[in-house]
Order: sequence, then C-alpha cells, then structure tokens
Amino acid sequence: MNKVRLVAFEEIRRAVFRKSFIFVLLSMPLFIAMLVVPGIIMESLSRNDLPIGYVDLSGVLEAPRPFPIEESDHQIEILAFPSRVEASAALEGGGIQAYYVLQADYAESRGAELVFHEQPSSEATRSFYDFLQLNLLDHLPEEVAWRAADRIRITIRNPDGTRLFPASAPPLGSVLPIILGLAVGGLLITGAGSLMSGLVDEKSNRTIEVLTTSISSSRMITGKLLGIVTVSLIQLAFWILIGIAAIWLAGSIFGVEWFKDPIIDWASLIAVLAVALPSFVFASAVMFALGATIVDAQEGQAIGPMLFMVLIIPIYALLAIANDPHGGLAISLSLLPLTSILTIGIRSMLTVVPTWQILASMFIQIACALVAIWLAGKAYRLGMLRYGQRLRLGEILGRRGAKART
Amino acid sequence: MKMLLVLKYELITLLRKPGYLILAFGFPIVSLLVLAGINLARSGPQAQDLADNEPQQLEVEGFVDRAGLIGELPVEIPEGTLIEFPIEEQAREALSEERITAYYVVPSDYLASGELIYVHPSLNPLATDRQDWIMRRTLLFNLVGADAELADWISDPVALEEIDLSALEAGLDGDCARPGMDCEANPWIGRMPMLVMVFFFIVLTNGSALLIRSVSGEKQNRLIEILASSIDPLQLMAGKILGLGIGTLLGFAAWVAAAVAALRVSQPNLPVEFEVPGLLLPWAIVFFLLGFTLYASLMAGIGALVPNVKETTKASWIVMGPMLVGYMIGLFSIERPNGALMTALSLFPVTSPLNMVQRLTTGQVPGWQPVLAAALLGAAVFLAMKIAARLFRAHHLLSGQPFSPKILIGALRD
Repeated sequence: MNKVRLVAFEEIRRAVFRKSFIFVLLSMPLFIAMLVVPGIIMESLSRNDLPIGYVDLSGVLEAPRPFPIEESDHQIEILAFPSRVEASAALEGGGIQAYYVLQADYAESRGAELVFHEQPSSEATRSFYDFLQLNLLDHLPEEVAWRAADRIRITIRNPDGTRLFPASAPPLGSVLPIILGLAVGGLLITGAGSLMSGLVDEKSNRTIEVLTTSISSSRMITGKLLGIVTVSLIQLAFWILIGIAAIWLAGSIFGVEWFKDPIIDWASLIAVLAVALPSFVFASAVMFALGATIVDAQEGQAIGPMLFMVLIIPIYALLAIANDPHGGLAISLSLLPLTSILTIGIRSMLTVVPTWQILASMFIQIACALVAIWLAGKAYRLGMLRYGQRLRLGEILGRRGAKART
Repeated sequence: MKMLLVLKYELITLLRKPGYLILAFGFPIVSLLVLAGINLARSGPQAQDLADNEPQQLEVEGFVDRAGLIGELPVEIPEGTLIEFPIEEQAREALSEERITAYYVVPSDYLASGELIYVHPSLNPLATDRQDWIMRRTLLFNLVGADAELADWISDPVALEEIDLSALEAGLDGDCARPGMDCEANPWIGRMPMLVMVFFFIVLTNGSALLIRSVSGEKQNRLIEILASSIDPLQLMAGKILGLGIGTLLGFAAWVAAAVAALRVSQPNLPVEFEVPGLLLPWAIVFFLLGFTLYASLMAGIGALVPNVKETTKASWIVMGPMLVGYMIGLFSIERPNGALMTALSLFPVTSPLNMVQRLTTGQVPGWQPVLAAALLGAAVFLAMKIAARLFRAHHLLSGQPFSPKILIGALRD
C-alpha cells in the first residue's frame, strides 16, 4: 500500500507541482473566455440603440397609440417624420438608424419601404413592427391589441412535467449536466493521454527498469491511476470554482438574464459524475495498456483524437437522442463506456433518466474499468522491457501462437 | 541546388502521406460526389413528382384553453387537426393514448403574460418540425375578433422593399448582390464571408503546422544531425517552406476548385444579381501566399527549438495565438464585418490573412485598405523570416533541450 501511495504521489507531484500546471488549470477557462468574450465585445460594439423613423403616407399612423407603459422601456424609440426629406436628413445626420415609408396605398397593398445604410438592429425592426401592429389594432382594448402584436412566449414541457424550458433556449440549469460531461470528457482525454505519454517516456528513458525491480505491476497501475484521477479531480474542482465565479459575475454583476438564479438539478449532475468517474478510470487504464504496447510517443498521438471521436458520438446523435430520449439509441449510448458521459448529460436536460439505467451504466463502466486494468497489468508486464517491439493483442491475452512483431 | 532537393523531398513525402491526401483531395472529391449524387436524386422525374404531389402532413394536436379566448378555429386549419379538451387531464390521457401528438395549455393569465405551454414528448431544442404556428394563428385569429383578413395583416404587416443606400452608392443592386448577412434569402450567400475566413484558417493552420512537425520530427529521429552537416540551415528552411508551401497550395487549389465545381453541380438558386467580388480571387491568393509564408517561417523557426513532435502543440500556440484571436472575432462579426475592430484586424499583419479576406468577400472594402494590409503583411513576412533565420541555426537544431518560452526568448536574443 505504501508503494501504491508513493507512485500516486509521484504522479501528482509530477503533474501538479510545476509551473505549467497553472496553464493546465487555466487552459479550459481561458479557452471558454476566448470563445465568449469576443462575442460579448462584438455584441456590445454592434448594439445600436438609435431611434428608428417612419414616414406615414397612408394615414394609418395618424394619431398613433404609444406602447403600453410597462413595455416602453424595452423598445427602441420610434420617430415620426412628415416627409422622406426630413427622414433622409435624420438618417444622413446619424439621428436614426433607418426609416420606414408606409406607401399611400398601404392599407390595400401593405406596401412599405425600408431605407438604411446598414441593416437596422433586430430590436429596432421588432419595435417598429410591434408599434405598427399595435396601431393596426387600435379599435381593440390595449391589453388585447398588445397581446396580438407581441410575440407569444412558448414554454415546452414534457408530458410528465419533470422538465420544462422556454422554446427559445434551455436555461443554464438544464445545460449544466452537458457542460459537466464535456469538462470531464476534456479531462479524460488530457489525463489519460498524459498517463500514456508518461509511461512511454519512462520506457524510453529506462526509468521503468528501476521501477520493475522495486514494485509489482498491479501496484504500479493502481498508483498511477489513483494519481491521475486525483490530478483530474483537482482540475475539475478548480474549473467548477471558476465556473461558479463566472456565473455569479455574469448574472449578478453584468445582469445577463440567462445566468441569473440558475435552478441546479443536483441529481442529474451526480448521475453524470457517477458514470464519468469509472469511465475515466476505464479510459486511463486503456491508455496505460496502449502506452505499454506502443514503441514511441508519436504513435500514441493519434489515440487521443480517436478517444475524442468516441466521446463526442452523442453530439453527432444529438437530434436522435433529443427526439426520443428514452429510445434504443439513447439507452444504448447511455450504457456504453465513454459515450455514456455526454449521453446522460444530454438526456438529463430533456427528461429524467431512470435510476436503473444510471446504475446499469455505472456497473458497466466499473466492469469495463476492471477488465481494462487487468489488461493494462498484463500489457505492462509483457511490454515494459521490450524496446522497439510492439505488443500484439493476442500476446496480451495469452493466445498460443501469437508472436511479437518487430 | 540543395534547397531544391529539400523542396522535392518535402513535397514528395507530403504527397505520399495518406492523411494529407485525404484532407487535401479526398474530402473535396467526396463532397463533390455527394453533392452530385444529391443533385441527381433531386432532379430525377420521380422525385420531382413526389415533391409536387405530396401534401404537407399535419399532426393532430390538442389544446386546453384556461383563458377562454378561443371561440372558433381559423378556416385554414384542417378539421380535426386541433382538438379542444376542457381539462388538462383529458389532453394528457389523449397524448398517452397517442390520439394526439402534443397539446397546448393557454393559461388563465395569458393576456397579461403571453405565456403558452406546449406539452410535447420531445423537448428537442433544435427541432424545426414543430407546428406551433397553428396555435399561434388560432390565438391571433381569436384575439382580433375572428377576422381572418386582419389576422393576416397583423401576421405579415408589410410588403417590404429594402433600399440599401450604401449598396446603391457602390453600384450594387439588391441585398444578395454581394456576399454578406444582408442577404437573408440565401443563407450560403449570407455566410460566405465567414466560410471563406474559416477555410483560410483551416488551410493556414494545417499548412504551417506541417513545418513545425517536419522540423521537430527530424530533430526527434536525429535526421537533422545528418542534414545539418550537409546543408546550410537557411537553405534547409527555405526548401521546407517552399516544398510544404506548394503542397498546401495544391490542397488550397483543390478545395477552391471543388467549391466552384460544387456550385455548378448543385446549381443552388442563386439570385440573378449575385456576383462574387471581382478582386476577391487575386487578393485571396496574395493574402494566402503572404499569410502562409509568415506563419510557415515562424513555425519552422520555432520548430528548430522543439526537441520532439510531442512538444509541438505548446510551441504552436505561441505562433497561432494571435491568428486565433482574429479568427474568433471574425466568427462573431458576421453581422458587421466592416466595423472598426474588424477594419483594424484586417490591417494588422498577423490577423489580416483571415480578416481582410473575410471583408474582401463582402466587396465593401475601400481599395487602399487591401493594398496597405498587403504591404504591412509583406513587411511582417520579412521580419518573420529574419526571426526564423535566427532560430533556424545549427546549435538550436542539434539541441535536445525541452521547449519553453524562456528558451525562445534566449534564442531570439542570441
């Protein structure tokens, strides 16, 4: 046990106690910031709150009804111009972003022109349409007219009422299991990859010869896996802290509606983690086994992208899973190693994943992890002192007649 | 002469790599064949007949009107398509028995809140086949007093003619006369500037990454020791840049040819007024060549400091970081590709190969800007080559030190 602890600590020390670990910790938050920050900057730069004008040649807006008081704060200001000349002067002078001209026969033809230098913002267009519709219904009570003019806000609910969200976009709380699944997936690729390359390095610099004489292969694997899982959990905990801080900043300080008071579905998050942890051990053990079989690190570089491809299969199958979250494909992908992490995350957004499926998935992942650890042990024993020779699966499984390939 | 040997070796080695062949030629050819197949299937007489004759299938849905707003259904909604249930339990039962595919609940405070609940077995946020327009229409129809004509007017209040003064001043007619998001009728034309920029990003990053991998790979397998003793490092670097550059250019040409052929094969319904800006292709070639030389030189130089292929990723970030910033901002600027920030990025040398080409695709760039950007980029290429030459020296090529920013700074000061 002491030696297992030593190996685990050495793995942790090698990964954590170095300057580049700060970069590793910050890489994911920085990457996400790089995706989000330019969007926010561009959004704020392209925001156009200038009024929008109109020239009414038809007379339908002769005595316009204003927006309801409670709605007026959300609307772009609308300015009336007596003629095209005044409207054009305002546009050229930068006083308005565009102007509409309702033709003299608008009531019959609905003919109108929109004059601009740059397309008006969607908020401006929507405000003008709301204004026009409100006034076309000026014979109706304000509440009824506004409801007819304004858009309907649809909330989609599943039949058992366990999930509901606006049709426009699911709320933050609903997508958190997917985000967690992606974060664990990212850790899985980097963690398992570094475990493999570490082993290849130990083989190439002959450290393995010293290790072989002082520790059994099973203890070696256990120690390394414990080490890499601990390092990854440290990373995950850090990312979660940064994530909480980012949500708080966006919701409370910058007032972004989507980030305000998220309702967190803890059961779904725990389900994703419950499946992700044994998956992580499984992937690490597989990579360890591969590290023991391959000749150099360059060979192993192709394995990371392959692992990634398997992990994101649920993203490709997103539509099929979303259309039938209790269908055969969704259940199969929830049970299979690696694909289960994201599939359960996606399904949790849309429905309540039955507990038996989560438990079954967990047991499958644990079983796969145990088999992978056993295989890794065999591969390590056979491959640790074989330089320049690739191990074959038949040799690892102990098949008769399987020979080494040089 | 030795440089030509290196060029030939690099080019032949590259052309024999399956990964390169698949990416550079395989994907465009397969995409073209798929498009041709789809086009053939679409243009078949049977497919056309089916498309013409098949009626639009509507699902049967239900609704529960707690607000008491719905008195009658619009005539255009086929009978039996929307069934009223007095209470939600009955609607839920009908859904579980599959008599209906979904149902709506109009809350009692609908007039104040505007909230409508749509109970559907699939919460797929990406679904495009929902038919909630039927309920929207029904609610609007009833709110305006069952007046179908008024409901039509409210649904579609204007027959709009857009007058883009900037386009008129530039002598262009119509929103879709040039690529850009002003063209709402055709999403491909709308997103063309962004797609061109993404394409440039992929080609430039993959092309220049070949350099760092080639140099570090030769360092790792010690081939560089033999090369360094028989060829001047600068000739080696120039040969590599030219050889791999020609390979990248071949791939670039294959993709462009495939894109042009795909347009002809798929025969998309392009608006008659649409035309690709005439100067786009010559400028695209200029920015591609300069951009590739800039990044390839830097990658070759930094590759000389990287002891093995494994460490190339970290080193690549240092070179590719600025281009990535331009790429990300370009992605988020599809609505306004000619704003102040995009203009600045399109003039700045490390981002101009992407952002200037993106803007040139819109055909709205003043003539002096690409000239200035190309001149600045040319100067940056000169500087990059000087930096690369400083890094690409025998003692760096033969060193096995692990790569770090400190090593890079030291090598630049050397």
